[in-house]
Amino acid sequence: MNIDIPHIAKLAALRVEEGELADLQRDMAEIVQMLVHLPKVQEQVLPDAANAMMLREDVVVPSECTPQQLLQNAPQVHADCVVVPQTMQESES
Amino acid sequence: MMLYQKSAAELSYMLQNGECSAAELLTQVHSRMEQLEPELGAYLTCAEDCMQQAMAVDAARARGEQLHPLAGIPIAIKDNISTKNLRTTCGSKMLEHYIPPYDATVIRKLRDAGMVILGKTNMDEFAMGSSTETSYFHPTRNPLAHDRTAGGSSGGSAAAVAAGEAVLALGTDTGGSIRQPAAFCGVVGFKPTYGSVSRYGLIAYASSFDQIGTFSRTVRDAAMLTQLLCGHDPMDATSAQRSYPDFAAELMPEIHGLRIGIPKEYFGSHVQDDVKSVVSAALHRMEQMGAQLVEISLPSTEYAVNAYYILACAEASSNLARFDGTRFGYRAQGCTSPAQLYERTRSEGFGREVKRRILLGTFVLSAGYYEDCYLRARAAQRSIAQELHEALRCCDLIAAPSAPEPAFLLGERLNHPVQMYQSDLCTVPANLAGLPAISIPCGSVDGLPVGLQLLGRPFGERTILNAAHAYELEVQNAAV
Repeated sequence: MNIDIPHIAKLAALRVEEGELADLQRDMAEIVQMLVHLPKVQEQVLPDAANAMMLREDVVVPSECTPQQLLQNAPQVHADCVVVPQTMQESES
Repeated sequence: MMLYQKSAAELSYMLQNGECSAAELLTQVHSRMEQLEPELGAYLTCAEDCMQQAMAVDAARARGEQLHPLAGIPIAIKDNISTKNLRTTCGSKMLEHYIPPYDATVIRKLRDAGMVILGKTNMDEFAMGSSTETSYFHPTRNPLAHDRTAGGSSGGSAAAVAAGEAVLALGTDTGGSIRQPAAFCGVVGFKPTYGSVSRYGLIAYASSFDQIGTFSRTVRDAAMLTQLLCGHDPMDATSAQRSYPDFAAELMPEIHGLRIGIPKEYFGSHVQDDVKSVVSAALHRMEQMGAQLVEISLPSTEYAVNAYYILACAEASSNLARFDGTRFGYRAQGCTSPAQLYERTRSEGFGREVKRRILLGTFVLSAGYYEDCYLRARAAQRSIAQELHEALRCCDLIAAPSAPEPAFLLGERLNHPVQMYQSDLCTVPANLAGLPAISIPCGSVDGLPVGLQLLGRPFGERTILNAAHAYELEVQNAAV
């Protein structure tokens, strides 16, 4: 099983440095070798209806936290909003 | 015997009868921590308001208030369980400075009972590991052998209880992370049935396997603490809607007539011979006490580690997607686009083992491999669970070693991930099937403790605790 580490890393939003690639390739190959030893699927795996999650009613209730408390761990806040790098680039036209 | 060496049950009696105060008990535990922490490294953060907590309990008792049996008992908390205003890091650089704005449901229960929260214990980063060596901060040493690991990922909690740096502790178990460190450190580790203890406030690794559980020095203490933690929580959609018996009040040494299944696959060549001998001797003792040992076979066990790592890593890759430097946690500096922010934050904030598992999880869910990896793992999980449930129709319990070997040397497995993963083979089946399981000390090999694991039926905590209690009393009485 061929693993394209740079492609998988891109999907996972992880950067793999040149120096790390060889070790990761070896580790992943060893892990995947171990993991592919599984029986083939004989029948479709269906959700277990007997143990379905019980969802509570979709009702608005007061939060135990204020907006300020929820923002206290944000790296950068301005006007009660989380500041992030610019997402849209200005067009040249 | 010093106060910090006593069980929670004994201390509860002493506190209720005025033989000691919560403040005195805490002072002794703190002295113990001061003495041992520089060497052991069980804790990451110590709560600064412990003495206030203890004195509040003493004051309430002096006023004649009716208190919970565990009021005033010092407890340590694994650092992936949210504690309001007390740093919660998951053993990671990613959350090095994170301070939760709320308590996990289990923490709220401990506070309501008047327990004294000592601090947050060390763990493998995001609970990914079996030795507490992948922690960003430092490894935790085994109190019984300082050159060896305390196990993982709840190594800090196991070590704290074993060393007297806490009377009780909370841990989490996704693939064995309570039972294996309990075995390595010679304490009792209990993982209840999936869904019996709320996961609200537990920072997720693999949501369909994660379960909060207990570390203690006796089975009675495990029963007392589990009693406090179990219960439906509307904040956790996977929380079971049921009531629970009073495990502590109903704790009886019951083993006579119990049928204990012995699966041959758990005693194969992958388990060290001397561990098998010690566990077999313990089972023989149970037989002499009146238990009936039944040989059983669970052929799908050979797929358990493989299935577990595919499914757990798949869930982890999704759960850890939230750590992107935006709303909380570490943020890489100097990024000029969101994509760069996510990539650099995650690459700099996560350690090697976490990145490895995220990559594995992403791979098994990716186009072209989902059917070949993820669906086959789910089918294997179903077989493993069905075999265990079938076996538990004719047996009351299933017995196995808690780990294939005693505590290994620090640094020995860190660069050998496959070897590390294989050492979870005794514990992952219970997680795959959502079953309750306990590890209790049952002997030693070259001075290192060995754990006996007992698995039970779904919500069969009482049977497990009673059998374990019976064995524990038998061993104690024989030692006197």
